Amino acid sequence: MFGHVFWPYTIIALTVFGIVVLVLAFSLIRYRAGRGHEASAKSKHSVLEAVYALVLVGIASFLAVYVASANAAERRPLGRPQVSVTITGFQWCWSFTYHHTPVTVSGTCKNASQIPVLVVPTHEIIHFSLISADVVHEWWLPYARWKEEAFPGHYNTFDLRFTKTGEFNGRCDEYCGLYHDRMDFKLKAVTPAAFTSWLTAQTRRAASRP
Amino acid sequence: MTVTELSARLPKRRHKQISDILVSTDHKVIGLLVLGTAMVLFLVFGAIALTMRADLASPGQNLISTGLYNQFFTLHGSGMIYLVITPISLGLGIYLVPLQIGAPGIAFPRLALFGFYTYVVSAVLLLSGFLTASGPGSAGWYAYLPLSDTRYTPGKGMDMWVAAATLAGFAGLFWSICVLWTALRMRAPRMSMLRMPLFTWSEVVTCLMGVAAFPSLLGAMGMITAARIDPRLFTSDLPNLQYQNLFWFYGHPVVYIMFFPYVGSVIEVIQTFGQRKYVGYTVTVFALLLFAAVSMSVWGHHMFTTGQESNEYFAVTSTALSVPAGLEYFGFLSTLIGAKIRFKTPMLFALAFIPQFLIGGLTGIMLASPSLDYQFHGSYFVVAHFHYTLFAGSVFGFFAGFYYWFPKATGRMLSERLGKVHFWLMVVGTNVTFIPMFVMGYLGLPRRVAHYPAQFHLLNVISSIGAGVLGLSMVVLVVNVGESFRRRVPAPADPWDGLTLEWATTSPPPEFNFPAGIPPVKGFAPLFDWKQAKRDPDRTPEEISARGAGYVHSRGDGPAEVRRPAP
Ligand code: HEM
Ligand SMILES: [Cu+2]
Ligand SMILES: [Cu+2]
Repeated sequence: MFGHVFWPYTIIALTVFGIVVLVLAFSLIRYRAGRGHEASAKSKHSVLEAVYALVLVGIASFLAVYVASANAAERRPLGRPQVSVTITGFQWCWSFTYHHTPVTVSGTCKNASQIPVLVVPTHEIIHFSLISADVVHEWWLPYARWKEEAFPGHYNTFDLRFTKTGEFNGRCDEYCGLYHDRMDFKLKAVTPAAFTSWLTAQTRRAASRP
Repeated sequence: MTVTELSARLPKRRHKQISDILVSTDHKVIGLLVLGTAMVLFLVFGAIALTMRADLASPGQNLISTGLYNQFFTLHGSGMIYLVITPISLGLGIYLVPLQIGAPGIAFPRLALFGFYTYVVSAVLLLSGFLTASGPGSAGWYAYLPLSDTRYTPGKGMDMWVAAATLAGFAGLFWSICVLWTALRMRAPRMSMLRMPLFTWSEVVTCLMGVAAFPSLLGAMGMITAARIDPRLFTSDLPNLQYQNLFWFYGHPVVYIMFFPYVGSVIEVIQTFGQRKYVGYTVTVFALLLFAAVSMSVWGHHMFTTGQESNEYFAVTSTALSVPAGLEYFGFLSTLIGAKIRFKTPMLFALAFIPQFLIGGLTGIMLASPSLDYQFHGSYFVVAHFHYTLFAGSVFGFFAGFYYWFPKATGRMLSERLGKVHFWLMVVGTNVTFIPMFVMGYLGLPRRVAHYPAQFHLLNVISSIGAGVLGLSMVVLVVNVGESFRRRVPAPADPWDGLTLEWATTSPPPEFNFPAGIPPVKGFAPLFDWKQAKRDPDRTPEEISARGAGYVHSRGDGPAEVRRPAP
């Protein structure tokens, strides 16, 4: 939905900005002192004001409906999830727990090799439950144009589906104390087959651990 | 006889002792105490920002430690909001509202003075966090729970931060009450509400919001206090979420408290240097009231990503703010079209406010869309957005007012040349500093980080260079003010050919403001009307006071109280 709103909004914003700058430039050049004119004595344009106000209300109503429905579409669950993951934010890193398996991926975020990797299959619906173990964090994946806050004692849930394989950087986006700035993670989207074999291997490893 | 001549005949004022100043109940003294303190703090918290920008000039640099960086952005943000822009908003009201409405003083002057001391203690507490072992507060200016409780941010410095924010909230509340009551109850005869100058209207609306919002801040600080006494109260979801609701119920309105008085200043400057009465007075008053009403119900847009807010409702109310904003711009532009524009320093700042604040406003409307906020929340896009509103907007509006009213308040002129240098450095510095931040946010750089990936290096360097230019511009400002006190070029009563009553008395105005009375009030620009009537022979006899060219005495109204100028 980001793209559905961002580009129309950017165009509208640039247009409004352009109009205001043009009118401003025009009035500064045309009405600068020293051109031998006197300032107009008129200080009311009732009809113009009313028409302008109505146009504004019209535009604002349109935009309000547009963004509200974009949000409704974005928050709708995608369907029955094929994979479910619990994300836990803690000071100062993440852990990812795959439901119905013993697999949990975690890290310390202290250096590049300690950044946890969240492996997900492409094309499948993934259901995330997000919680914090301590303060408020925020799980942000810029590539997906998506973030949500992690609260202690409360699960926030959302669905995502990835269409492209690849590795994407994500991070905490709510200031959460001293090492907030290194609270990164990686999301690795792989084909469903690769995901299954990865999960099987991880399951086996988890089981062989005492 | 002109006002200046008249005042020259008044008994020479006794030189004020410092102790007189510190306990004065004169609204002008209190106002200047607040404004002067806030400007000094502006330089302090600005210097902290420049240090942050120096640190950010390179991706992995440790010019200051991560912990200190966190304390710096907390102090910079809290300081600018609680101790600089909000106090300036209300300080301008304390100084100017009585003058604009032809009143001899402010309502509850001792409460206003008490507010000043509350504010000073708040500033001392906030900054002396540096003297504690743990350092000053470091939970950001909105100090979310449970981060701000004693489990996650222990230490005296954070306790002092909470006390400072609480006291700043009290000061804001006190000042709002004083200024609001002054405007509502102490206007000159015949000045109806719809004849109040627009700056005074902007203060009325500001204070209405202040009266509603500051208590909410006090409530939020009460919650943190409780959490610092017993953190176990905050282990479940509800109190932590409600803290955010309570905080933003103050936190959104306060952005308008930090905005309206500067719109008011810009309006006054535009009409004075456009040499005409403001076009669309009623529309602007209506827009201000609408702004205030709607903006009490938009706080949830700061919580779009909590997953626990009614996002569609808040998206609709926030988007609706574009209506009053659009009406306000109508006033700016339609006054300029058909004006006779003089490009003095105050006018330059006011003119730059128009497109620059617009960038802040338009990106604000973008952030009112949850779909965009799911990307931009907490990123540098937001940092760019609010610096465009607060710095490129409010601070420019403030400097418009500063250069405009400085002669009135001090009786000294500032240098136009230095003023223009200050202006151009600030325009360049502001845009070079903050435009790259939009791009950084779009590309995914979070705010509140001391280190960042190398991909953002160039943009950060550009931004830091801009900040350097801003630092330079403030040096020019300080030199200008210093020079003005050294050179002592006296300011006449009405140096800019003003329209409103503050220009109908001496610079600086004497105690009780209007020894010569005020011109009769027939609209929102009484001095302008009076000058017109005097100038225009066709307008006699009603328009020109048949009783001579003297001002009507401010306390009375009938012919008996008209002060006749000596023959
Ligand atoms: C001299 C010009 C200024 C510069 C160079 C500057 C720079 C910065 C920087 C680098 C940050 C940290 C961004 C982050 O990591 O989130 C910041 C945050 C902030 N600034 Fe400024 N700033 C300036 C002026 C102002 C002014 C005038 C105001 C308000 C009136 C202001 C309000 C804030 C606020 C509220 C924050 C957020 C603090 C927080 O995250 O808790 N700034 N600024
Ligand atoms: Cu964090
Ligand atoms: Cu807001």
